[in-house]
Amino acid sequence: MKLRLLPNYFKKISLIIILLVITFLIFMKISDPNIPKGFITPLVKVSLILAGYFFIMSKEKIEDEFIQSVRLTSYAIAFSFLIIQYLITESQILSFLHKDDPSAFRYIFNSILFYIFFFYLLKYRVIKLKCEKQS
Amino acid sequence: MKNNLKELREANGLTQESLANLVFVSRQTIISIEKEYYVPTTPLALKLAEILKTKVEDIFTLEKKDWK
Repeated sequence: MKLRLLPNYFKKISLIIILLVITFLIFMKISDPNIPKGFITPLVKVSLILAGYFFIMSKEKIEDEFIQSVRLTSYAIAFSFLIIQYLITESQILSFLHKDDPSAFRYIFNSILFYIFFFYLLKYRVIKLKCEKQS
Repeated sequence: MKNNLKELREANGLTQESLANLVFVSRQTIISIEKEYYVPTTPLALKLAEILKTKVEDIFTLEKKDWK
Protein backbone atom coordinates (compact mmCIF):
# COMPACT_ATOMS: atom_id res chain seq x y z
CA MET A 1 0.00 0.00 0.00
CA LYS A 2 1.41 3.35 -1.05
CA LEU A 3 0.78 6.17 1.43
CA ARG A 4 0.04 9.60 0.03
CA LEU A 5 2.12 12.03 2.04
CA LEU A 6 3.05 15.70 1.98
CA PRO A 7 6.45 16.70 0.54
CA ASN A 8 9.47 16.72 2.85
CA TYR A 9 9.58 20.56 3.06
CA PHE A 10 6.41 20.44 5.19
CA LYS A 11 8.65 19.28 8.07
CA LYS A 12 10.44 22.66 7.85
CA ILE A 13 7.09 24.47 7.64
CA SER A 14 5.92 22.73 10.83
CA LEU A 15 9.11 23.72 12.67
CA ILE A 16 8.69 27.32 11.48
CA ILE A 17 5.08 27.32 12.79
CA ILE A 18 6.27 26.05 16.20
CA LEU A 19 9.01 28.72 16.34
CA LEU A 20 6.48 31.41 15.39
CA VAL A 21 4.09 30.20 18.12
CA ILE A 22 6.87 30.28 20.73
CA THR A 23 8.00 33.75 19.59
CA PHE A 24 4.41 34.98 19.59
CA LEU A 25 3.80 33.68 23.12
CA ILE A 26 7.01 35.23 24.45
CA PHE A 27 6.17 38.53 22.71
CA MET A 28 2.63 38.56 24.13
CA LYS A 29 3.90 37.73 27.62
CA ILE A 30 6.43 40.60 27.51
CA SER A 31 4.18 43.19 25.85
CA ASP A 32 0.98 42.66 27.86
CA PRO A 33 0.80 39.99 30.58
CA ASN A 34 -2.90 40.76 31.19
CA ILE A 35 -4.04 39.99 27.65
CA PRO A 36 -7.24 37.86 27.61
CA LYS A 37 -6.65 34.19 26.82
CA GLY A 38 -9.87 33.85 24.82
CA PHE A 39 -8.19 34.70 21.54
CA ILE A 40 -4.63 33.43 22.05
CA THR A 41 -5.33 29.92 23.35
CA PRO A 42 -7.39 28.63 20.37
CA LEU A 43 -4.91 30.19 17.92
CA VAL A 44 -1.94 28.52 19.65
CA LYS A 45 -3.76 25.17 19.86
CA VAL A 46 -4.76 25.20 16.18
CA SER A 47 -1.21 26.20 15.17
CA LEU A 48 0.33 23.39 17.24
CA ILE A 49 -2.06 20.75 15.86
CA LEU A 50 -1.43 21.99 12.31
CA ALA A 51 2.35 21.90 12.86
CA GLY A 52 2.10 18.39 14.32
CA TYR A 53 -0.06 17.24 11.42
CA PHE A 54 2.39 18.62 8.84
CA PHE A 55 5.29 16.99 10.68
CA ILE A 56 3.82 13.49 10.90
CA MET A 57 2.21 13.54 7.45
CA SER A 58 5.28 14.69 5.51
CA LYS A 59 7.81 12.41 3.86
CA GLU A 60 11.25 11.66 5.24
CA LYS A 61 14.24 12.59 3.05
CA ILE A 62 14.31 8.99 1.79
CA GLU A 63 10.81 7.57 2.03
CA ASP A 64 11.29 3.90 1.24
CA GLU A 65 9.35 0.75 2.13
CA PHE A 66 11.06 0.33 5.53
CA ILE A 67 10.14 3.89 6.56
CA GLN A 68 6.57 3.29 5.37
CA SER A 69 6.29 0.13 7.47
CA VAL A 70 7.67 2.03 10.50
CA ARG A 71 5.19 4.80 9.76
CA LEU A 72 2.22 2.42 9.64
CA THR A 73 3.34 0.67 12.84
CA SER A 74 3.66 4.04 14.59
CA TYR A 75 0.22 5.17 13.37
CA ALA A 76 -1.27 1.95 14.78
CA ILE A 77 0.51 2.40 18.13
CA ALA A 78 -0.52 6.07 18.35
CA PHE A 79 -4.13 5.18 17.55
CA SER A 80 -4.14 2.45 20.22
CA PHE A 81 -2.65 4.97 22.64
CA LEU A 82 -5.47 7.40 21.81
CA ILE A 83 -8.10 4.74 22.63
CA ILE A 84 -6.31 3.68 25.85
CA GLN A 85 -5.98 7.32 26.89
CA TYR A 86 -9.72 7.83 26.36
CA LEU A 87 -10.64 4.62 28.23
CA ILE A 88 -8.44 5.54 31.21
CA THR A 89 -9.91 9.04 31.35
CA GLU A 90 -13.49 7.87 30.89
CA SER A 91 -13.23 5.12 33.52
CA GLN A 92 -11.75 7.61 36.03
CA ILE A 93 -8.97 5.15 36.93
CA LEU A 94 -6.40 7.91 37.16
CA SER A 95 -8.80 10.70 38.08
CA PHE A 96 -6.40 11.95 40.75
CA LEU A 97 -3.95 12.94 37.96
CA HIS A 98 -6.26 15.42 36.25
CA LYS A 99 -8.86 17.72 37.69
CA ASP A 100 -10.94 18.16 34.56
CA ASP A 101 -11.62 16.10 31.43
CA PRO A 102 -8.88 16.43 28.84
CA SER A 103 -9.89 18.44 25.81
CA ALA A 104 -9.85 17.13 22.23
CA PHE A 105 -6.67 19.18 21.80
CA ARG A 106 -4.90 17.22 24.54
CA TYR A 107 -5.99 13.85 23.07
CA ILE A 108 -4.81 14.78 19.58
CA PHE A 109 -1.61 16.48 20.73
CA ASN A 110 -0.64 13.54 22.97
CA SER A 111 -1.27 11.13 20.08
CA ILE A 112 0.91 13.21 17.74
CA LEU A 113 3.72 13.25 20.33
CA PHE A 114 3.33 9.52 20.89
CA TYR A 115 3.47 8.88 17.15
CA ILE A 116 6.66 10.95 16.75
CA PHE A 117 8.24 9.21 19.76
CA PHE A 118 7.53 5.72 18.42
CA PHE A 119 8.40 6.58 14.82
CA TYR A 120 11.94 7.60 15.74
CA LEU A 121 12.36 4.74 18.22
CA LEU A 122 11.46 2.26 15.48
CA LYS A 123 13.34 4.07 12.73
CA TYR A 124 16.62 4.05 14.62
CA ARG A 125 15.88 0.60 16.04
CA VAL A 126 16.09 1.76 19.66
CA ILE A 127 13.44 -0.84 20.34
CA LYS A 128 13.71 -4.12 18.48
CA LEU A 129 10.14 -4.38 17.29
CA LYS A 130 10.09 -6.35 14.05
CA CYS A 131 8.39 -4.39 11.30
CA GLU A 132 6.85 -6.18 8.40
CA LYS A 133 5.62 -4.60 5.23
CA GLN A 134 1.89 -3.96 5.34
CA SER A 135 0.64 -4.58 1.84
CA MET B 1 13.44 -15.30 7.94
CA LYS B 2 17.21 -15.60 7.94
CA ASN B 3 19.43 -13.79 5.49
CA ASN B 4 23.09 -13.54 4.62
CA LEU B 5 22.91 -10.11 3.05
CA LYS B 6 25.85 -8.81 5.07
CA GLU B 7 28.19 -11.58 3.90
CA LEU B 8 27.11 -11.24 0.26
CA ARG B 9 27.40 -7.45 0.38
CA GLU B 10 30.90 -7.64 1.80
CA ALA B 11 31.87 -10.31 -0.73
CA ASN B 12 30.82 -7.89 -3.47
CA GLY B 13 32.91 -5.11 -1.90
CA LEU B 14 29.92 -2.92 -1.16
CA THR B 15 29.24 -0.74 1.85
CA GLN B 16 25.76 -0.40 3.35
CA GLU B 17 25.57 3.11 1.92
CA SER B 18 26.58 2.10 -1.61
CA LEU B 19 24.19 -0.87 -1.64
CA ALA B 20 21.39 1.39 -0.38
CA ASN B 21 22.11 3.86 -3.20
CA LEU B 22 22.09 1.09 -5.80
CA VAL B 23 18.65 -0.17 -4.76
CA PHE B 24 17.25 3.32 -3.98
CA VAL B 25 16.57 2.86 -0.26
CA SER B 26 18.03 4.40 2.89
CA ARG B 27 21.02 2.97 4.75
CA GLN B 28 18.70 2.29 7.69
CA THR B 29 16.72 -0.08 5.51
CA ILE B 30 19.83 -2.11 4.65
CA ILE B 31 20.85 -2.17 8.33
CA SER B 32 17.36 -3.32 9.36
CA ILE B 33 17.36 -6.11 6.77
CA GLU B 34 20.85 -7.27 7.78
CA LYS B 35 19.87 -7.31 11.46
CA GLU B 36 16.67 -9.18 10.51
CA TYR B 37 14.36 -6.53 11.97
CA TYR B 38 12.73 -6.05 8.61
CA VAL B 39 11.77 -8.43 5.81
CA PRO B 40 11.88 -6.62 2.44
CA THR B 41 9.17 -6.76 -0.21
CA THR B 42 9.61 -8.98 -3.28
CA PRO B 43 10.68 -6.09 -5.58
CA LEU B 44 13.40 -5.00 -3.14
CA ALA B 45 14.55 -8.60 -2.60
CA LEU B 46 14.81 -9.03 -6.39
CA LYS B 47 16.76 -5.77 -6.73
CA LEU B 48 19.18 -6.89 -4.00
CA ALA B 49 19.65 -10.25 -5.72
CA GLU B 50 20.36 -8.56 -9.04
CA ILE B 51 22.90 -6.15 -7.56
CA LEU B 52 24.61 -8.96 -5.60
CA LYS B 53 24.56 -11.19 -8.71
CA THR B 54 22.77 -14.02 -6.99
CA LYS B 55 19.30 -15.53 -6.50
CA VAL B 56 16.79 -14.33 -3.91
CA GLU B 57 16.76 -17.76 -2.27
CA ASP B 58 20.54 -17.51 -1.79
CA ILE B 59 20.05 -14.33 0.23
CA PHE B 60 16.91 -15.19 2.18
CA THR B 61 16.07 -18.50 3.85
CA LEU B 62 12.77 -19.48 5.41
CA GLU B 63 12.79 -20.65 9.02
CA LYS B 64 10.39 -23.11 10.67
CA LYS B 65 8.50 -20.28 12.37
CA ASP B 66 7.80 -18.64 9.00
CA TRP B 67 5.48 -21.53 8.13
CA LYS B 68 3.22 -20.93 11.15
